[in-house]
Amino acid sequence: MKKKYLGIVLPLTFITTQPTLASSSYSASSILKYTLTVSNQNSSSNELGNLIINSHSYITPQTESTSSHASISEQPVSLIDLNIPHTISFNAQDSINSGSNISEYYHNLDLSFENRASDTNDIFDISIDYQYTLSVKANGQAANITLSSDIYDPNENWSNGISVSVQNDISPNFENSNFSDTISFTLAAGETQTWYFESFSEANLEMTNVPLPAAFWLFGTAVLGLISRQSTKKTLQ
Amino acid sequence: MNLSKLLLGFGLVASQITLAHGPIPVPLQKVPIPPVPGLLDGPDPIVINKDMAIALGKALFWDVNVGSDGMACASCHFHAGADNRVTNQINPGTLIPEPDNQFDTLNSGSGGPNHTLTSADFPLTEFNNPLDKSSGMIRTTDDAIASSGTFSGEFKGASRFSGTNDNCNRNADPIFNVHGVGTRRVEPRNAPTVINAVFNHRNFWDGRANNIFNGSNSWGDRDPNAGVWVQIGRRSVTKQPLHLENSALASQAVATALSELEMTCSKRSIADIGRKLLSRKPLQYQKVHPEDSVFGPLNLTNSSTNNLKPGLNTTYGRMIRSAFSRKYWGYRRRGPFGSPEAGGIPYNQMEANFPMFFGLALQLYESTLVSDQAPIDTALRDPVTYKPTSLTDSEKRGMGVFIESHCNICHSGPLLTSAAIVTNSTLVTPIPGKVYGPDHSLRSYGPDAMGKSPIDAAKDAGITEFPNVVTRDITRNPQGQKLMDVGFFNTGVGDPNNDPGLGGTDDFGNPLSLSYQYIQYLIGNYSEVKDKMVMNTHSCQFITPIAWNLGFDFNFPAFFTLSTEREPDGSREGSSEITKRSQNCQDPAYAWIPTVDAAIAAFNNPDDSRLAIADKAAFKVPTLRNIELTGPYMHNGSMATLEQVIEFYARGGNFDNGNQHDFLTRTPMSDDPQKRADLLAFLKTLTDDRVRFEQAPFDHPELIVPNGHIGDAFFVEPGHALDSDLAKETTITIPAVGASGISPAIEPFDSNL
Repeated sequence: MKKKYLGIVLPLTFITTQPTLASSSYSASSILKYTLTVSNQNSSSNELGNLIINSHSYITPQTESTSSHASISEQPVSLIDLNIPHTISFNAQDSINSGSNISEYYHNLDLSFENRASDTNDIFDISIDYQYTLSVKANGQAANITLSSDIYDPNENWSNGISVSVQNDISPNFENSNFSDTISFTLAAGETQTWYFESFSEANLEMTNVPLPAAFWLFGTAVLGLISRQSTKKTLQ
Repeated sequence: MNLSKLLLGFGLVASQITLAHGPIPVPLQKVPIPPVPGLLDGPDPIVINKDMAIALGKALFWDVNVGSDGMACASCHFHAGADNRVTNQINPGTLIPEPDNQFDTLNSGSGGPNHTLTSADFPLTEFNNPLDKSSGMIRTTDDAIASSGTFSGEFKGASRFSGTNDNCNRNADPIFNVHGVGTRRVEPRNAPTVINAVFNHRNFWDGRANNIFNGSNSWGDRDPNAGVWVQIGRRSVTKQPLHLENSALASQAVATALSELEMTCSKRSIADIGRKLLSRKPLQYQKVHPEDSVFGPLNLTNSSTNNLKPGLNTTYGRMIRSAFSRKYWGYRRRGPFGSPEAGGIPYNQMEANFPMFFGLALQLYESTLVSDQAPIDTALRDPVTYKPTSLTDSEKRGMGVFIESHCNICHSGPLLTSAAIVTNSTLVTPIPGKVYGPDHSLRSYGPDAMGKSPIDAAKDAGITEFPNVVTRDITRNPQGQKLMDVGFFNTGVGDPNNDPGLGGTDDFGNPLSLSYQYIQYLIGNYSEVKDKMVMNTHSCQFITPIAWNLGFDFNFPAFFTLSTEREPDGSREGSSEITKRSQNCQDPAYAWIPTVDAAIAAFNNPDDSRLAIADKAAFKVPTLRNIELTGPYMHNGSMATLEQVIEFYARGGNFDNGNQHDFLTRTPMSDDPQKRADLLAFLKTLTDDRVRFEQAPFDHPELIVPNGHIGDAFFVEPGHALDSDLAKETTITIPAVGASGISPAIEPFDSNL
């Protein structure tokens, strides 16, 4: 009886002490704060009503599997509220227990400006003060994440940007960074311009089941054999 | 005067074989690397951080994760830039047009897969009297001594994070096996050293690594679909052709990585290699010395003095972002770049451009592997003749034997190879203030750069201010004139039917030979001139002319001499080109080419040999630098020692054939053992001790190299971890070395036999 008890407990002990199968995961966060400042060069008018500002924010996924997700959150502040900081956050993350995933998301914020004034003297001086705060983290067996935020000018040429990158096995496995700048431009009557703020999170995850040592299976088989023998003995008895 | 020219023409052959002449061996110090416009310079350079690009190249060169089953570039280039392994190094002659794929029994009584070479096996082609070809050949073989590479198999995928081996469907190879148990495949030509290879105008023994790198593969401008993806806007990317000159090493690198004999499983692209590597730490499983001359100064190692650790503290992707202009990787979307053949998410821009990153980074790293501190480089030199004065008497006599035996005509200039076309040409071009050589013996660029004219004229080796890629020279058996690619000669090492060498074709069916393309130029078939530098050939620089203005109409059958048959070279391009092409001539009377009609008539007449070319079984002239350490020798690795090489030349080659260069003949050293001993002493002045002791820039990370299989040539043990049908293998570990090198020194190849 005593031997049989031992035979049951030992494999349970082994199972509970085997390495815990972890997950591979990443998270990425990009926070864009920007403040718009506008003045009209037409000192006689100083009218800003003909300036139309639009923003278009959207996420595009590019992933191998459906395990990952991304979201955006935006403060409900009207764009016409000049000199007030606007904040838009983009987050992406994934965690897998097995297999692999390429998890990529673009967050785009397109800021469009249109001068609808009929008076050609109405020329707007516009500034966008912006700050990017990026943070990334990678954990688990095999994970990396690169988060880049890039600004493209109205001709869609890259004008500035920042990138942070971490990998689970390179210390530290988290990183954050700030970047700020000011875009200044003028908008003549009838003109439109769009500035593009694009964040791109590019993650790679992989999780392979850690093979258990052969000794475990041999030991387990032996123990099962022992249990079986005890059981057989009992039957025979 | 004209009569004397005619007589000279008839006597040309005799003059070449009797007169010691041509450029003398010169130092490599301060000799510039051939320029690559647009790579690091100009308004929009491709590489924006040269040091990081070199580090990337060094990592890629030594990383066993590049191959599908543990083969790095360095796995065949770890010993003085070459390979000194002696087990499982035999190829059965797979380049024969219809190969029997049968291994031969070598002189030791064994051979084939997993054979361990012995000194009795060499030379592979042996004569009763090694100094006399007429004594009769004892044995030869179509087998080649080269480098064992990959098991290969069909690529199915690879982890982006861990493990060295790709997932491939592997089976025992039908050729490379011992009683059905698969062994690693062996390439058909010997691995030449990568040290100083940056100076070669083209690379590989057959020149198929084009001088122009197209960003995709080894074929340069020959591939109209090649190119790189360039981001031209936020949402727009376009494939643009790339045309980087003097980038044969990049062309070479991308071909080797996709060789199913050397490194890779089939159906794997270099973009797939990128997908495998970009997220990984470089040299993930290989120790890196903290004082590595490249990684150390950039703080990229994880190691400390007494604790060597594997890997760099970055990823390949980060290194590329740091080294290359963002327009080559900054586009974020997938879709335009195609998908892996084995399946998976479409490539991104960085993966799609990985062939360019891979090729250029490797080229930049290999451009640092310049050995210019050998005795030949540091010796004091006579200010007039520029001959070295501080070498030993034997070494100095040996240099005389080298010139007397006409070694210097093919092994010319500071690299001791005429394949260094641009470098050789640069040095003989006078530029005020430009000098090269050691500080105590500086030499001005110009016609006397490689020795005092006229006796030591570089021009005798076809080296002039204009870098011609084609020349015309004399062959034997029977003697005659043929067009030749500069830097490529047939010396009769092997049976010319065993390996076509330069006589082979590219992936599109076009001959590799540039001489062939020059004929297309001559017959007016310009669209077939794929390598545009051929269009600029200056015929008056040819060693022997193709068209010749004798001053009177005399039909000299070896040349286009009749006035109706020839036109000034350059007349098809315009008068200014005629002027250009009449500079730096061997003789101004050579500055002619056949008319299109005359060339077509000759081309179509099988009895007319004036457009004959010597491309079959011609091979790139290898550098002789560090030759002491880079055996086995020749394209087929058929000689183990320098003594055997000297005997080969002393007897005038092994296989007489119609494309063999005329200088493959007996010379005074053939019957003079002292001269041969002196020549050997001279050849050893070409060894740079930094190569011998693996000091910077020749230091390296750890490397574990497959070194044959458990067993021998008759039995191997199945059960390799990759597949039970493959043979278990043995390995050698090359330890990580820092900038200060190793002790003791590395040894010549034959010390392993």
